[in-house]
Amino acid sequence: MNLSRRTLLTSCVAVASATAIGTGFLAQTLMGGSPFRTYVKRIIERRLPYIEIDPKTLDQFARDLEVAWAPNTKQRLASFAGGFGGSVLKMFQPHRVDWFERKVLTTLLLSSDFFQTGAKKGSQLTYYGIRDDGCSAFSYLSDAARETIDLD
Amino acid sequence: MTQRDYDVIVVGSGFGSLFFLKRFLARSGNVRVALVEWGADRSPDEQTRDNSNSSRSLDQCHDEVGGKSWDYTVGLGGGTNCWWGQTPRFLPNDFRMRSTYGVLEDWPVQYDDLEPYYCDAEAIMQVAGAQAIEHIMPRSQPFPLPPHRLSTPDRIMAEACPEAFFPVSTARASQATANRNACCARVACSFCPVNAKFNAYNGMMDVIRDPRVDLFLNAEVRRIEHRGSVATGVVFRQGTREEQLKADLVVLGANAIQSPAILLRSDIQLPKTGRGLCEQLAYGVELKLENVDNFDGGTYTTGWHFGAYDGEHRKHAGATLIQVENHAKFGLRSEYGRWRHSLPLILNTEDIPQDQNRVTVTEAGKARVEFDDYSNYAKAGFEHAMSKMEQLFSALPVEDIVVHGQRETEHHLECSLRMGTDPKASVVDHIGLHHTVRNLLVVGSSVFPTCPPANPSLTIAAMSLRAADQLTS
Ligand SMILES: Cc1cc2nc3c(=O)[nH]c(=O)nc-3n(C[C@H](O)[C@H](O)[C@H](O)COP(=O)(O)OP(=O)(O)OC[C@H]3O[C@@H](n4cnc5c(N)ncnc54)[C@H](O)[C@@H]3O)c2cc1C
Ligand code: SF4
Repeated sequence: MNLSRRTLLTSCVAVASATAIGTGFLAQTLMGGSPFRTYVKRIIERRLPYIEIDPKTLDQFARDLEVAWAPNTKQRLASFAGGFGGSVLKMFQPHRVDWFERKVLTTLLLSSDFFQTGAKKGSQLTYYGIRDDGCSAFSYLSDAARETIDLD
Repeated sequence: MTQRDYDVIVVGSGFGSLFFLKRFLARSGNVRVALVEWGADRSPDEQTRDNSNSSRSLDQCHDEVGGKSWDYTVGLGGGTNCWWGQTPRFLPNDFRMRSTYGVLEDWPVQYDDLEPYYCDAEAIMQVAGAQAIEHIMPRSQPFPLPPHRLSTPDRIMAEACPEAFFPVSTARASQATANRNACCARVACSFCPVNAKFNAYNGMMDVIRDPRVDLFLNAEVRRIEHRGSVATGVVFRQGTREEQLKADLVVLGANAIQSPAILLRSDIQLPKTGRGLCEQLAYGVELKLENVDNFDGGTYTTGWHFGAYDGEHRKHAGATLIQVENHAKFGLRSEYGRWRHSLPLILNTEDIPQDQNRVTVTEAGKARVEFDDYSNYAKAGFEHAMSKMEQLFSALPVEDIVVHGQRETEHHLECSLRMGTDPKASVVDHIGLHHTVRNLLVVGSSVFPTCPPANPSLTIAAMSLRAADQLTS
């Protein structure tokens, strides 16, 4: 395994996408739109091409996420930067961009019936409302858990 | 200014203070104790509602220079509120670094001295863990609660590396106890929604509400009064009012930033007072797995890898404890069917207490932390762990290793009032008594002589129980 080469490659891709995201983010902010919601929707379309989600539902998810994660601008920037006290400069670090995008898609998958209905390709997603509970969905529904927990 | 008399004044109500007080009260008869706490009494429900453990923002409590953040809770119960319940013991060699590896310092307390107190602290916190870990940390008692269910990758690792990979020991309950519910792996442990994690509210109220204890809240201790080498009491500020308390013994447990600040404000100084503040150098790393699903364990982190911890490398590179996360710390993967093929790790590497990383006070008397950098020893330790990563996890089908970045803080403050024998090189003695003010006991992680990679709070608790025994025997 060539760790440094691989990490470098990942970094280059992420820097390019971060720059594009950054430009779009700033442009939309200047136009008074919601760059956060637009970005969230693009993440879902780009990184989860195998799910079907009705545009209105996706819009609702983006709105809910905006409210849940960013009650004010400072926190919005911080959450964009990875949620760990990030600053505007830090938010374009490659690992933070990937981390942020995965947090977004994770929240959608766990806030819907995707896993409950068998995680089928192309199935229409039912969105329940933001659910932000890390791993516990898998902790309690996995085979390992069933062996040790009486779910009935 | 009003004045009241006590036998003992305890400053702060976090780990160091409460574990001291628990044992001290159990061994004392009719004593009068003042427990003086800067923060407020806010129940876990109130903390969750406000999304904040502290009753004061940290920028009100200290200034930071050097771009590194430090984290702690100011409030009744101190760090028992915000902590995540990881309770490793330190390894025997952590206490004898100089004699084993020729670096750092030996502690004046050794693993065997602390072992019975580790057991007592684990009993008080109802720690869950697996007996197998006695392979590297000898134990005289079983864990109070059984270990948590391992995640699938952890199970593979524990089978493949029975001498280095173990289920975590933790104060997140694996079964319901009299005061706590079982952990449901919710991964929000600073605000545990199900009361599974040990904290002052579910485990120390007998101490705080003991009729021999007077509790002073929202009371910031500004200084310790002393006449020469004898502490006579403390002065605290409550709102705009200052009050003085007198006592025969002062126990200082205000954390490793605020305790030195109090000593500096009191003009109780030795060359090393406030110097050497440190915590572990920590990184988030992810192993992308070929075809193993993660995240099915019983609590937020279920496994520890000790493969980069102890060994000859410690002569020149710090030990690293690898914590395996059972939650999608870096998110699920997006590729179809590969969502859970991820193993998030936190690498915690020991640092060296360095003089230039220190606590001072501003002209107004506010604590001020100056941080230059982590030591080269710590950086070499991280590099060492990374260089072994493929080998350490060779039992798993690892397809990629991604360094997600350095963590801004590991939430541990240590080593600013170190224990030792020489007043030029340390601040307190083998019990925690100040070298010059002999009725002033310092408790908490400020007294650690070194900064091993393991989380500190179980060791703080054990050291406090031991100090109380030694002072009352
Ligand atoms: C988010 C987070 C997660 C953590 N997770 C873990 C973990 O999993 N495992 C682990 O081992 N450790 C963990 N820690 C670290 C742990 O909280 C500390 O190691 C521990 O609390 C230190 O104990 P202490 O007694 O030294 O200080 P504290 O517990 O911080 O207690 C200090 C007390 O003094 C009070 N005080 C401060 N100044 C004054 C003053 N001037 N006058 C009066 N009172 C004062 C404070 O309000 C507080 O009550 C975590 C910390 C954080 C922040
Ligand atoms: S993992 Fe969840 S249930 Fe367990 S202690 Fe943390 S918050 Fe509580």
